Amino acid sequence: MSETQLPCPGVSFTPALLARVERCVMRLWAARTRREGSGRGRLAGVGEEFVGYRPYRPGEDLRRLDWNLYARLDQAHIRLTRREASERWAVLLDSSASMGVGPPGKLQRGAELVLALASLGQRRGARVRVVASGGPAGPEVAAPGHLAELVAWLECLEAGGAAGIGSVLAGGIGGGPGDGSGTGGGVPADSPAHSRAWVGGAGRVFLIGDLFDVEPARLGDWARSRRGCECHAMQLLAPVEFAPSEGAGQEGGPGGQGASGGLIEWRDPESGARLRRALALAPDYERRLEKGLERYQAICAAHGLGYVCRSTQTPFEDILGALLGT
Amino acid sequence: MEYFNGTFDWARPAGLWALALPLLVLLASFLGRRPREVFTGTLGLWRELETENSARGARRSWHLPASRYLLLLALLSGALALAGPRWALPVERDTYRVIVDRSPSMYLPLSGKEKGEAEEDGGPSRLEAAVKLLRDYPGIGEAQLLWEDPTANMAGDPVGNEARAAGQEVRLPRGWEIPPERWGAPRGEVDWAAWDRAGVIWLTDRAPGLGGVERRLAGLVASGGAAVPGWVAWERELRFRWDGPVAETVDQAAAAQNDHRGGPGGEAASQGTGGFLPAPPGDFSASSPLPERGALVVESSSERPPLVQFQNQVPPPLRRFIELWAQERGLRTSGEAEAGPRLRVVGPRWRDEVAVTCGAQGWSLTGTATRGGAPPFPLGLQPPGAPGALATRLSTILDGQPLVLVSGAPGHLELAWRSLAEPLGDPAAFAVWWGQLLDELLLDPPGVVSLAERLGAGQPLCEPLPVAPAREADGSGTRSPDAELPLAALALCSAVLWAWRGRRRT
Repeated sequence: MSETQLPCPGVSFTPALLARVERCVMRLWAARTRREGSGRGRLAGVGEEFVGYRPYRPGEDLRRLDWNLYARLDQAHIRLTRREASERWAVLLDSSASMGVGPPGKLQRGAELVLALASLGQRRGARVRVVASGGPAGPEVAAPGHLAELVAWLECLEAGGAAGIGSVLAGGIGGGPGDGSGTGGGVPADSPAHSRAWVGGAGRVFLIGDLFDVEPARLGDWARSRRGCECHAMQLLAPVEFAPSEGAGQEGGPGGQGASGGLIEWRDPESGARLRRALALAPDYERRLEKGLERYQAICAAHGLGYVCRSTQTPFEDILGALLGT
Repeated sequence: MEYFNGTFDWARPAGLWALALPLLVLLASFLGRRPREVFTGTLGLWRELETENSARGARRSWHLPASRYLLLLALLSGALALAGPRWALPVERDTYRVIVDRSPSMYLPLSGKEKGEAEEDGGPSRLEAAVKLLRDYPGIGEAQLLWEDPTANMAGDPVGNEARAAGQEVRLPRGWEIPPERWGAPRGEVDWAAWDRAGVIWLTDRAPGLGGVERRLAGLVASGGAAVPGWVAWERELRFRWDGPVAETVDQAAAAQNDHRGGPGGEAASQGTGGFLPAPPGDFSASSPLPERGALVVESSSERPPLVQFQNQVPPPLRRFIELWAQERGLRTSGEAEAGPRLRVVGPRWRDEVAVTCGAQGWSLTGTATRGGAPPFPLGLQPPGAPGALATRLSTILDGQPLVLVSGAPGHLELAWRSLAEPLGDPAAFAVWWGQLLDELLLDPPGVVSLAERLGAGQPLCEPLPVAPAREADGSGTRSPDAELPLAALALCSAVLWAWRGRRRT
C-alpha cells in the first residue's frame, strides 16, 4: 500500500480493557434481563427458541400467554423460550488499510466492539463467529473459553489492503437466515465458503467498519436481502475524519496546524493517493460528511437496519449502548 | 526620549553578523517546510472540495509555530544585544576641513639631513611635522576634522576624503603615506585660492602666499623645514644632485639675480652641464628670507638603466615606437617581470576585438581593440577605494558608448589595441603626442625630487582661522543608557520560553 506506517494499524488488549469489556457485557446482560421482563427486548427475534409451556401464574405478562393453546384447551399457559439458544451471530469486521487511521485506531475500536459482542452473544447462548474482510474467519465463540482464543486472533489483525466491508458483502455473503444452515460439513472452519455459509445462516449480523466502500443504497439492498435477519451497522470514523480541524492536531507528527502552515497532505491509506488541502476547508468538509452520514442513517432506518456512527474517540461501551438501546 | 533625536550607532558593529543566524533559521523554516502528511479514509470528500475551493485550499500559509517565533525572537534580540545599540544626544561641533598638500616636498625629512640617498631616514617628514603642529591648533581637539586631498585623483593614490570624529587623536588617515618610489610622481597643483574658505585649514610645508595666493578665510598650518639636498634630475646614465643651499647675503643675492645659471662654484659649472636654480619667488628685501642657491653635481650612474616593462601583447607599431623612445631616454625594455619598473606598458587584457580608428592632433591609428577597452585602474594593483586611478588619455565612441583606448597614471600605461596598422597622418605629430605621454607617465627613480621641492620651507607657522568654522551635529554626545541589558534579558526569556515549550511538547 504505502511505504509509510499507518498511524494505528494493529489491535491490542490490555487487562484493563478486557475488564472493561467484561463489565460492559455484564451491564448489557443485566439491562437485557430487565427489558425482557417488560417485553421490550430489542434482541427478541428469529433467534428465540421454543422449549415448552407452563401454566400461567397471576401477575405474569399476558403477552406471553399462548392464546391458541388457551383457545384449544381453555387453560392459560405461558410459552417458555430459551432466547438465543443455538442462534448464530456473525460479526463482519472491516480490516482494510483505512481502518488503520486514528488515533484512536478504527480497527482497535472495532476489535473492542467485536469482543464485547462475542462475549454478549456467548453469554446469551449464541454461537458467534467473526469475519474480517480480506482475511480468514476468526474462531467460533460458543463458550467462555473461546473468548481468549478470539482475543488472540483479534490481536493478530493488522489493517491493510483495500478489501473492506464492501468486498465482503460483494463476495456473496447474504441471503436469508435459513439458506445456510449447514455450517460447513466438510468445509474448513476458516474458509471463505464456511464464512459465507455462517453469515448466510446467522440470525444476527453486525457490520463494523468505516463503511466508506459501501454506498448507502447498496447497504439498503443488502439489508433488504437479509429480511427476517436482525442486522446492525456500526460506522466508525477516526477523529481526523470526523472533525479534521480538531483531529489533525492529534495525528502523528510534529505540531498541529502551525507546523505545516495549515496545508496538509491528505493521504488515502488504501490507494496511497495524496491530496494537498488546507485545514481551512475543514468546515466545508464537515458539512459534506454530515450530509453523507445522514444518507446512511436514512437508508438504514428505512430498511430496519440498526445503525450507529461514532468517532473512535467514543468508548466502545457507549457505542454498544447506543446500538443496543441500553 | 530625547536620545532618539540624536544619533544611533553600535558599540560592537561586528556583532551584527550574528543577525545572519535568525535569518538562516527563518529561511530554513520556510524552505524546509512541507505539508504534514495525514492519513484519512475520506480522501474523496476532500477531492470534491477541490473544484469549489481550489484557490483557498491550495493557498500557502506563512504561519509559523509559536515556538519558532520564540526562537527567532531570542536569536534576534541576542544578536542585537551583542552588537550593543547606543543612542547619543546630538552635539553641535566645529568642523574643520583640512586641505593636505601632498606634494613631494611634504615627504622630505624635516631636518633636511640626508642619510645616504634615502631621505626617509632623515627623521620625521614635513607632512608628519605639519600634522603634529595641527594637534596644537586652537580648538582642534573638540572639533570634527575632514581630511581632504585635492590632488589624490590626479596622482592615483589610494586615498579619498576621510573624517575624524571629535575627541579622537589627530593623525594622518591610514593610507595617506605613500612609498618613496612614488614621491617624485607628478601631482596636480593644489588650487589654494579655491580652498580659501571659512573652516578650512591649509596643511602644507610653506605658506602658499609666496606663490601669489592671498589667504583671507582659511587657517594655516605649515611645517616649515630645511632644504634637503639630493637627486633632482636624471638623464640617461647621468644623475644630477643638488648639494644644498649656500648662505648668501642680500647683496650677494642681488648680485646673483642676473645669474641664475649655477651657484657659486660647484661641479656643475665646471662641467658645463648647466647647473640652474629657479628664480627667487616673490619680492624680498634685506629682512626677507634669502633665496637658496647651491651647486648641481653631475654624476655618472653605474646602476642598470631603469626599465620599461611590457605586459600582454602590445601591438607592434606602438611597441616599436615605445622601444625607440626608451632607447632615446636611456631606458631598457623588457617583457619579463622585474621589480621596480619606471613605466609599465600593459596591452589589451581581453581577447575579443572590434575594429576601431582613432587619432589625435594630426595622426590616426586603425586596428582592432578589445570591447572592454582599457580598464579604469590597473587590474590587480588597484587599492581598495581608489577613485579612478587611470586617467583616460585617448578614447572613441563605439555603439554609442565611449571606448577607452589609452589610459594612464604615473608609472602605468594601459592600451586597448590588439592590432594596429601603421599610423596615418603626420608622423611628427604622432611621435610628439606619444613621446609627451610617455615622458609624463615615466616615474623618476627613487630619491629623485625636483629642486623646487627640495628648497627650504622656512619656519613652522600656525595661523588660526580668521572666521569661525561651521558647526555640525555629530554623534559623540552623551550616551544613552545601554540597551544591551534589556535586549539580553529579552533574549534569555525567549530562549527559556522556547525551551520550555519544546520540553512540554516532548
